[in-house]
Amino acid sequence: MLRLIPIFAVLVLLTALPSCRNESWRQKLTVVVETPNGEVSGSSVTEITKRDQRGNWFFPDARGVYSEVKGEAVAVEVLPGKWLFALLDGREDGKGKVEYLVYPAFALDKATDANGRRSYEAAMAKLHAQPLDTPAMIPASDYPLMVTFDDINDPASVKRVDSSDLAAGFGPGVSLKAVTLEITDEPVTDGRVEAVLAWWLDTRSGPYNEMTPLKLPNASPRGWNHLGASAFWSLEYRQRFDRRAP
Amino acid sequence: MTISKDLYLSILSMDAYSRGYHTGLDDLGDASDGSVHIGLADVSFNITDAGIFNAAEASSFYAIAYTMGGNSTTGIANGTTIISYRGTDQPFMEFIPVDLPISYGGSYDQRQIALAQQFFNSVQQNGNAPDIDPAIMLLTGHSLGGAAAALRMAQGRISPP
Repeated sequence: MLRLIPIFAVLVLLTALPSCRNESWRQKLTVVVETPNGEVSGSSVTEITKRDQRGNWFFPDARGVYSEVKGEAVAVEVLPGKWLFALLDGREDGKGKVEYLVYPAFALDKATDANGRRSYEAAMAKLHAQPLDTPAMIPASDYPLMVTFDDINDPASVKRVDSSDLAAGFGPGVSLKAVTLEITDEPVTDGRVEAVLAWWLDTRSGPYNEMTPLKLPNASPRGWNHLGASAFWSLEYRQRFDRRAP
Repeated sequence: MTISKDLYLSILSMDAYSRGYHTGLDDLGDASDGSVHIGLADVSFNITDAGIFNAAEASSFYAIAYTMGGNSTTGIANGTTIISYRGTDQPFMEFIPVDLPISYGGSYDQRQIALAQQFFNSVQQNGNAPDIDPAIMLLTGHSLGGAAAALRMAQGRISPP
């Protein structure tokens, strides 16, 4: 009898497969910066997939809507040799994660269904109704985590950027003009960040020889936190770098 | 208000589902810089610190370590390090290839075991940091995470989950 339990479990999972509803879209995040030399901008297209595992077919601890990201951070050359990165990761307060940016950009948290109730389904319906390639402003409260390097080739020089005071990080006359998001069918961006931070791909450590995390100074009790490659690249990219690693 | 040691460890076993990547709730954050707390426990080590993020995400493995900041309400001594292993959260990736062989074949997934071991070792090796004391360690975990904690306990003199 016990031997039949795994077979039964497999059948249950196969039955559950159709109930695992996925939503997927591509979005282009654009950062526009005013500089003394004029306006500069950078963009990155990421692909977001939401896996809906809320049904009764799933273990209670596995239920929820999970997000997967494919893509890389936004890199903007603000001044010659001075780069601004808008990361995939959010800030300490949980806001600004790339997979959730559609909510503040398109006011999805206010989307309601036919009964006037806010729901995930209503949010996804509103998202899919968005016109392609039509940028929407992201409010400052939902900006992604932004960092720069004093020396783009020195991992120890990484530092956080205050989006409301870019002049502090880049000098007088530099300010953030806008951060926008649009739904697009453009291909996922690949290679821009790699071209700028090529040195990082060869800086490796740990039991699996992964890219060495950076130390990002902050105001915490310890004074810094690790900033890993996952903030710049999704898993698929990092695995590709790992395979090429020396 | 007091809270039992077992209840507190249970809470931490579920907390691992809500931190790091692929979180079931909104991401509660797993910064190990002393800024993230759950009750009296401070997050003190994560998979980025351990240098295993890519391998962990690819295998749907996650673990986190906390350091207790007080002992008046939980019965867990001040300074104790607690490792919490996340359980099954990817049914198609973990249930058939990982959970079933453990439950019915007594066979542990080697990637999950290796990662659980690597994370434990990394926490211990960082024992010279002021917030990690290798002499005081508790392990906890829910579901598959409980199995990882129990197996690690069986391999060494560590307090049971």
